[in-house]
Amino acid sequence: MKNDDLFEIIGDISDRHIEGAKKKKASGVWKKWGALAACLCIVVAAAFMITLRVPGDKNYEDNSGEPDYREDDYLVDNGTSNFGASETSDKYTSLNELLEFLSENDDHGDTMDSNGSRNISADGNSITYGAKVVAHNGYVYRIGDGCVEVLNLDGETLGTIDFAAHEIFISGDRLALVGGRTVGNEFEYESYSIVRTYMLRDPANPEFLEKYEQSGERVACYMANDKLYLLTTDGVCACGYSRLDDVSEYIPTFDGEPWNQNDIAILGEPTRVNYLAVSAVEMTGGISAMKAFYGDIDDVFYGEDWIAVATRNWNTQPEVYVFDESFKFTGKIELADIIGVDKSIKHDEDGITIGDVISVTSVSKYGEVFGVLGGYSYATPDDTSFSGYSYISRVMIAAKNMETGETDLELVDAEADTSSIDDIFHEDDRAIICISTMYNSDDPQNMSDGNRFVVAEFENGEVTAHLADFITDRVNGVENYFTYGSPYGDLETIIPMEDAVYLRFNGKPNGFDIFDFSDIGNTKMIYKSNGELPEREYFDFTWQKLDEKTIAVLHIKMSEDYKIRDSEYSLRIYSVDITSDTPFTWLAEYTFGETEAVWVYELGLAMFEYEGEYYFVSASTDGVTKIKF
Amino acid sequence: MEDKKIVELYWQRNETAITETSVKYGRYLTAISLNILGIFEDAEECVSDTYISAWNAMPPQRPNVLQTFLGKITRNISFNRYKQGRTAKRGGGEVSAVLHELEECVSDSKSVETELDRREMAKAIDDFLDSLSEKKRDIFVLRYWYSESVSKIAKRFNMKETAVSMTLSRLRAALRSFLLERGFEI
Repeated sequence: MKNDDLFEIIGDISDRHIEGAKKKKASGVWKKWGALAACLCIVVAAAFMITLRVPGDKNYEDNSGEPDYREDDYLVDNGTSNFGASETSDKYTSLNELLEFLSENDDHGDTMDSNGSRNISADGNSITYGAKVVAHNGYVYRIGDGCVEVLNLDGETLGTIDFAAHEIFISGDRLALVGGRTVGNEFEYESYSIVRTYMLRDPANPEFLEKYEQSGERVACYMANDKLYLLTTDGVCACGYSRLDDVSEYIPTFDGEPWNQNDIAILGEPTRVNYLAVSAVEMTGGISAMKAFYGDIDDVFYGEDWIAVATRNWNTQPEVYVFDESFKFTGKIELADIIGVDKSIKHDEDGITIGDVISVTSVSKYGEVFGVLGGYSYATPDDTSFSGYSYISRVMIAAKNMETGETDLELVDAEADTSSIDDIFHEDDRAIICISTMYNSDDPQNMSDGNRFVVAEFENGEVTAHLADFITDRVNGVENYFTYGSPYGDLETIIPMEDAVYLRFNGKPNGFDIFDFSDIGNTKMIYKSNGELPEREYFDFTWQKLDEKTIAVLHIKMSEDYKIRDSEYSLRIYSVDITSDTPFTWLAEYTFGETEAVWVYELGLAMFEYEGEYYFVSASTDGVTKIKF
Repeated sequence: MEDKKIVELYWQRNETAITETSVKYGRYLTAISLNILGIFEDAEECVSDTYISAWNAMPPQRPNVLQTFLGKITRNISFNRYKQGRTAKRGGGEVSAVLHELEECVSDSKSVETELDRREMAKAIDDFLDSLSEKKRDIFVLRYWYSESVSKIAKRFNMKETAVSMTLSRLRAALRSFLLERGFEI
């Protein structure tokens, strides 16, 4: 017998031993993996960003060289944001009560998902996300290697800011850089998010203003109304376990100081320690509001002047807690009540969920009401079914006026065996929902899938919803290649090109469909791409609208072995004429070298307009390129 | 998303399963692969291949514990990649040292010939692990399943590295005796 054989045989030992080694004393490790994974799944889409910097790049220290900046003037005015814990919980009046209870009663995830992570995700509307590259008054700021570079439009590097930023924001004449640091080792470490602000009186020479540091993994960061909102989380691991060796560790800190107890909201009756800390950094200086939410937090959604936190656990249907821009509690959306079902979730003896199940995909504000989009399903055991269950599933569109308390509901049958929401485009008073549908799900040999649209309108607090007549093809993408970076069939964002006309990037592996949603009762597909290419290994990775008539597409030619690192990248510019039978005309192409391509892939590419001209900058390619078409 | 839902997505042939798997277990799987290969890009590709394998395996399979199901796939793929790379003298993380240590347990004679033999031996190793204290069992699994470095294990258990190495050495000797006593030709 050879050592290789023994190594392989050890690979087949029992799951309980593998899991056991993982869980003992290692909660911190898997917690961190999970939280980092959760961070990775948050897509920041304002620029032409491709993926986030991998957390494993050992960017452990803030290498700015600047002394920690801390002034007391950022402290929150408790008169505007001191609402205490009890407002959102019937059981707890303070965080200490909750932590004391959980130190003895934390279920370590047993009543959450069996191995479940708490992947807090973010969705926003009317806000600005961070980018890898941004432009301001003829200057470009881009994330380089451990620094932020300042370039002019001729591509000259004018200087660098020595800070390993992950995201860049511009608001007025202020620049904000968001990064982080991690202390500790791979197994036990703590993460902090850092915001640094600069004055751009002279755009070529940013002047350092302030630095803030908040504990926790960064969930999201966005700009609205000249405020930078920083969302971080800590407390629960990927495998669903709390870190409860010392519950006192689970109080977020801001600039090293524990969070003000008055700026804590406990959401219902949490089963584990898990916080989401949010602070609003004024770009003119100081902090305007802070809040730490404790609960079984599933998702967070936000808009220009609100933030909504959705909770859910193994036994309880989701609820949505809504707060205003100062994080003042404005009300709760209890979806079980709106639909009229039991608040508890039932499971069979194998732990499979049966009965009523509500899921939340998105929360947004439509005029005066908050709309909650998601799914409602009802599962019953069915021995005749291939999966062992029969499902009734509906697209859920719920609305609540937080002032009057009035609610409305539409449950839309997507006319398929199963359905789930793929993508949503939010507008002022309506949402366009793209649904993934499955047909013949009981017959593996004849399963098929597709996509349908539901257009929902929220007018005067009332919901109306229409299911589009047409079904679009579900796509298969590049065969045998599933990693991020490959279009394996998901739909990309729906973007308005002209009034009520939208493009959808269908990734089949190539192609754009065009839809007309001007009449929600009669939505139309104007153009359907054939999605076929002469060679499958070519595909369009992602895209951006330049103007109403032009789009830019990052195009990838896969290497022969489908390895992304050896692939070739190019930027293609197309004009769009929705009235033509062949709406897309190829105008120009810029090809990246192989080395550059890897960096483009990892760090991003941005396009921007300045004085009527379009430019693109990759995060590593030298220079700034003017797009000619 | 809970594991049962993810498995259900695989069974529904819904490609969201891949995304959900990646979000939930991507880092975990990358860590396993990285321990074996030591090169991030290679680890990333092995994790991608894991998703393909999982897609091909479900249905018909419906794993009880998705995490370890995926982890085993990643470990196998990564080790196969390691063996290919070893010929080309490329890469190799902690696993080179792990294999070197495991040489103490084997005699480099004939290979294990049948799948049945392998399963029997895996079961015997399970029995061996059951006979150990919790701490020793975890140290063994972390080293020889997860291919974690001695220094990491030492930090994890607040032990000196030499103490971990000594524990592992004794465990290897004990495993060899355990298997020989039960008639396995190693």
